Amino acid sequence: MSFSVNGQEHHLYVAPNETLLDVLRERLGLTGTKRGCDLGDCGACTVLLSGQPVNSCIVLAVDAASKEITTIEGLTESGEIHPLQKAFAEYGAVQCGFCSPGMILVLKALLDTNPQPTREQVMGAIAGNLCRCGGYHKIADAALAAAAAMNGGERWK
Amino acid sequence: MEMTAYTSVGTYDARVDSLPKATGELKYINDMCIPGMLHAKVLRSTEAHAAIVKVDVSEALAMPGVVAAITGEQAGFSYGRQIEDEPIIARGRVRYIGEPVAAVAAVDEAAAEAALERIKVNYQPLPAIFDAEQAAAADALLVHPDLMSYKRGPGLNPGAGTNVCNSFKIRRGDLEAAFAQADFVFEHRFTTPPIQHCPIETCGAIAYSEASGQLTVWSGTQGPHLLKQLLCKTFGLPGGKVRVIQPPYGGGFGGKVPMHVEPIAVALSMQCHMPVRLALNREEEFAASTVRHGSIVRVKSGVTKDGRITARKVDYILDTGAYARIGPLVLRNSAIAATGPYDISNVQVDGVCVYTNKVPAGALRGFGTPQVSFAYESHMDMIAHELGIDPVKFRVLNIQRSGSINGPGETVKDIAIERCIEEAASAIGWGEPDIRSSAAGAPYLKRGKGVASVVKACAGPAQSIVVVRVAKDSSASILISASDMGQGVEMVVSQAVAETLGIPLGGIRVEQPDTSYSPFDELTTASKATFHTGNAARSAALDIAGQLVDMAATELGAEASALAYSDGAVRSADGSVCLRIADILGKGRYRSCSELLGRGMFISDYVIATDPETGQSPSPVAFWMYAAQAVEVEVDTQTGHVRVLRVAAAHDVGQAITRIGCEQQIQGGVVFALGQSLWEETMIRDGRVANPTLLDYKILTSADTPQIIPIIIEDAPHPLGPFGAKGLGEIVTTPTAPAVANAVFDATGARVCDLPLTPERVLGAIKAVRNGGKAVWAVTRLGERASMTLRRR
Repeated sequence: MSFSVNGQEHHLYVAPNETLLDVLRERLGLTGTKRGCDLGDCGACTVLLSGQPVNSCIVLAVDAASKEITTIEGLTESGEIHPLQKAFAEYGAVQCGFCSPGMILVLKALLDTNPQPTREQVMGAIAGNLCRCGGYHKIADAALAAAAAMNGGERWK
Repeated sequence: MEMTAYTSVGTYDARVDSLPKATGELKYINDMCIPGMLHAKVLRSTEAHAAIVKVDVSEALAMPGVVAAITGEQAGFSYGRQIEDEPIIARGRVRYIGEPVAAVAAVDEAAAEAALERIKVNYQPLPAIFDAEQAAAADALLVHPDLMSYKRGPGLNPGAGTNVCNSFKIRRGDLEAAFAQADFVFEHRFTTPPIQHCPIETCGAIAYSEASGQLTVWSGTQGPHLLKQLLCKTFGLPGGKVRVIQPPYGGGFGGKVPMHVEPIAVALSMQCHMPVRLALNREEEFAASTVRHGSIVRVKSGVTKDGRITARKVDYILDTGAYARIGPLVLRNSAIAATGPYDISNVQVDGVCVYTNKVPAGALRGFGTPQVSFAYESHMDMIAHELGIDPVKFRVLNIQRSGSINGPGETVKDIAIERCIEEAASAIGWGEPDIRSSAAGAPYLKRGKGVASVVKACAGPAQSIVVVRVAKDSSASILISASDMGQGVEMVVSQAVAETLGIPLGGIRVEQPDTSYSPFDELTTASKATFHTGNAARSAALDIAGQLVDMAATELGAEASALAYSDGAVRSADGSVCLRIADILGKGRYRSCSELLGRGMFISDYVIATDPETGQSPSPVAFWMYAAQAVEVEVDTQTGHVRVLRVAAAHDVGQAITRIGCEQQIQGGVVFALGQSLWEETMIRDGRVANPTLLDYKILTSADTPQIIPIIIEDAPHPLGPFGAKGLGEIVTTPTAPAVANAVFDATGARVCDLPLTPERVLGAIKAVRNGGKAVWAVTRLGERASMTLRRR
């Protein structure tokens, strides 16, 4: 099957039961997307599939054929840190960091469609991503700060 | 109290370790891949208690892609940090559903899983015991008939012919006389279930036993040095041939203390001399790793009519499951805190840690104190209500202050618990006019507020050594074996060094713990890293400062005693000398010098073991932590659903080093503990974990998270702590559940004495009150009531 990951085309033979998570991590070596539960319960494996956040552990690889996937690695275009990543680091939104890639991608999808969300909308958007270290509030702080920075005229795709 | 002006300590700087996690570039243990690495899978017992008649791995070994397979007979090693009761793979007998009975290593996970299906096991089921109170009884069915034959550590009191792997007692004062003289005696019973760590990354390790004799283990472990010690001891290996490396891992909370998956990976690698990776899947993480000790706690207090507690007796049972693990120490560390942060003259504590045929319990954030504090802090409010005293006032009336004697008989000092109670209560609007129904006017929604104040020890003694290397450009490298699992110890030691040497935080690296070059820290638990490793880091930086002073003195031909290092330079008293690192290293006499190395060590060697008969010691712990939390809830009295509106959490930290880290820990700890207050329960039916998924074992999501007000109290710096700092990691989870239970009572008049406060339990308690029952009930199971004893004089 052919599919595009972070703007790069891939052509792979995949088994019918391989998940998108398996392919990203084991076949393409993109370990930024994490395996937390393999059951779609925790959100650590979140990637953007055609711009929509999905739990890649319960998406069959074949269902991603011909589609565009964005993983956390895709956010640092030409070495520039994405405002969400910068805000996560500056606002204390990262502790162990294992939930962070999933959180950031869900928030990117939110800001793509709702550039100036309310705090409540942010907390709602990440409700499918579990964090055991932190209290979610600093993740919301970071998301709102990133939204503000991005609305200050920064162009991003 | 005068606050020192620091340049880095206590500031709101961002954590230095965050960005590589946010970019996804940091590689965690379960991201690692070593060439030739095999994947292991474990076959687990389906019986709670059985004799193993036969385990046959021959068919599995013959399958394509399978390289190694082992049984308990082949890997006949047992271990245990306190009691050596646990085989790495079951031998002769299984004692819990989920216990390893065989393991295979194959070229990929699919082959390994297919191989498991070809392993034949014959069990002869035995009667099993699941109930901790039954297990504690003298004539109980025994999980470990050979208990007394196991090697064990010092200071343990197992009961011969029983399931008791440890007992601990405290005796101070004359309890019976005090009860006899008290105006009131209250006694209540509380229970808490086993709960789960739920780190978002599961346990994982890679072991490589080379034919040449070197063993290397990569593990997401909270204790690389302890892991090395245990592996050497268990497998009989020389220390010089064993190396443990700790890559980053996704959360610990006590669930990644040595040992778990490592010994099985080691045993498989020893068979095939290839690297073997073993990581738990989420179901195994729930059902076959470690849980928190379930508890049954009885608290009895004698109180004067003025509200002074004169006597307290605590009897409790901790359920340690099929193997002791760290249970004996959980018992001890909770017992010394079991009478609470109160000044009580006559105390008695009797605790036992018992075996049952369930998944083993171990260290889980709080280490026994959340269990005892749920009991004593609910009990406090139940007394306050009966006596008609405000719960905050009742606590302040009895709280420990400088000069009070605590449970184990130590004279406490440098504590700020009273201020914590006042600040938490004030932040939640305690005493302000009650809004009994929600603003929307729905009469069945009731609001209430509750408070809880608690204490926990950082036990000790412990040794921490840190090495710091500073380069002539003022960049630095810190070597520690304290494990950063997200709690921020890397930032703490970085700030300690930045502050002491006046060098930029951004130029400091903390190296990955590796027993080959990282100096000793036993493991990172007990909220001890800031205090111990932070102190050692500061000492190491001071060592370098001293060397810089000596070098400057030599260069200048001056007396070293006339110079001192401050504000990032070697200075003289009159200001004529101001030499920074770059002025000394690489210049003049020291032009060949690029680096200095400093070492620091901190040992809490002032800890004196408690007396085995009385549990007393003048210095029983490294330091104490105190906190108070206040909670406002809204209870739907039609459904029993509890919605937490806000939590004010006040913590006696001594000195915040990483201020953002303190906030992170308080917010995260409250959310962690709210799950355990409201929903979290490992449901075990006939020994089987019935809810081993994140769907059925619910932790808080962002949608459930209330407003959290972190309050950092720095009134009472610790004289021995780095910059006065104490600890924070566990005490943040200790007061929450009783504060919620107390708030629910305030809202509804219904008391629930069993965690979690599920809608079923809360509704059951509300209905019991409505049906004309007393305001105070203990609902142990749905529909079943336990009694409360109240004796008035």
